[in-house]
Amino acid sequence: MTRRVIVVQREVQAQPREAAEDVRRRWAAEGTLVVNLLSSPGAGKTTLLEATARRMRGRATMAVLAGDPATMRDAQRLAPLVPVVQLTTVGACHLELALVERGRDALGMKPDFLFIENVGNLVCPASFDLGEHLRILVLSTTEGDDKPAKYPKAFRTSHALVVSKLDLLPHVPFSLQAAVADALNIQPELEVMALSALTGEGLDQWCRYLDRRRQALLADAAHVAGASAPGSASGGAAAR
Amino acid sequence: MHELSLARSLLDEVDAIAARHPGSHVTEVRVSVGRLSGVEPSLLACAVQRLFPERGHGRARLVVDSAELLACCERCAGQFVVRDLVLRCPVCRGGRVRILRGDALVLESVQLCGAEGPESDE
Repeated sequence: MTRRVIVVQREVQAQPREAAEDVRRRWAAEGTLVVNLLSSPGAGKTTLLEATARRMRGRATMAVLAGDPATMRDAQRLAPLVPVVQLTTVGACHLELALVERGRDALGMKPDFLFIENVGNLVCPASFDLGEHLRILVLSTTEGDDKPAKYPKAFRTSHALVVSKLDLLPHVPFSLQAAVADALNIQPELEVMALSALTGEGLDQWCRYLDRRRQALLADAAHVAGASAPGSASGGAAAR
Repeated sequence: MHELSLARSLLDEVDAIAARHPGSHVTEVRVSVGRLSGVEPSLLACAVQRLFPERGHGRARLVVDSAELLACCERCAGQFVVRDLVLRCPVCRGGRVRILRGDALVLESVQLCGAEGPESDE
């Protein structure tokens, strides 16, 4: 019998990359900045979203797709503040594009900002492109400053690092400098912010960052719409 | 546990290659797991070996190689292997660094027995 080796050398994707690119372009054309929030469980994603919703009220529209392995608790917390759809993964450790798209359809609106609150996990969500424009890693001061070095892929694929629970910094052995240094070694282009959603410290900078990124997205989308060849996107705001 | 999703995508590729070589069967699938791929090799192997028989590749074996993280500096164009997860150019210290290899799961090759046809998948 003849044996033959077929050389392939092609990346294997958990889901087709093109599908996420299509969704990203569509969201941009609709004027929605999509933000994928990654963190460990309990880092304060929902609390940050509550605080963000209060700040955005009256000046921008915002909605949330909240991912969890079980319960409707995050949606129940956020519902008084913003339109929210709970994405229950029934035990799965990450969100996938198809589920996010169903959530978006259920939402039935085109907000200025759409936050995807991923399942609390710094491993698997890093491998799934949800068509977001921004991937934000939320790291709380109570988790320890060793997390960037331990979970490099999540930090490498993020656009910004938000250090949360800054109000607890005096009470925990967390070196902000060490955490940020490790994160910047893995992703030197990472934008870094530190805040406390409870005291409000750092929230102005966070909201200004979001506004700036949405303006960049709108400028990019207008540029794409004006270009003669479709697909000639500069990709300036596309996810890494 | 995204290794199962990756294993399914991998087997889809292998199926497609096998289908282009009728009359053959798959004897070996070789993959490389990059250091920054986020893939746990033993979980991937476990998932793939479970899927082999149900996809009709009962005689196939999986070979998993590891791939170092290879990067290229966008400022000075130097290439370097990232050993300590510092993704900064060791020569010019530039931070705009493109990863060339080692951040993904790659299907390297598929060995077929009794196959006719091209030796590349392109």
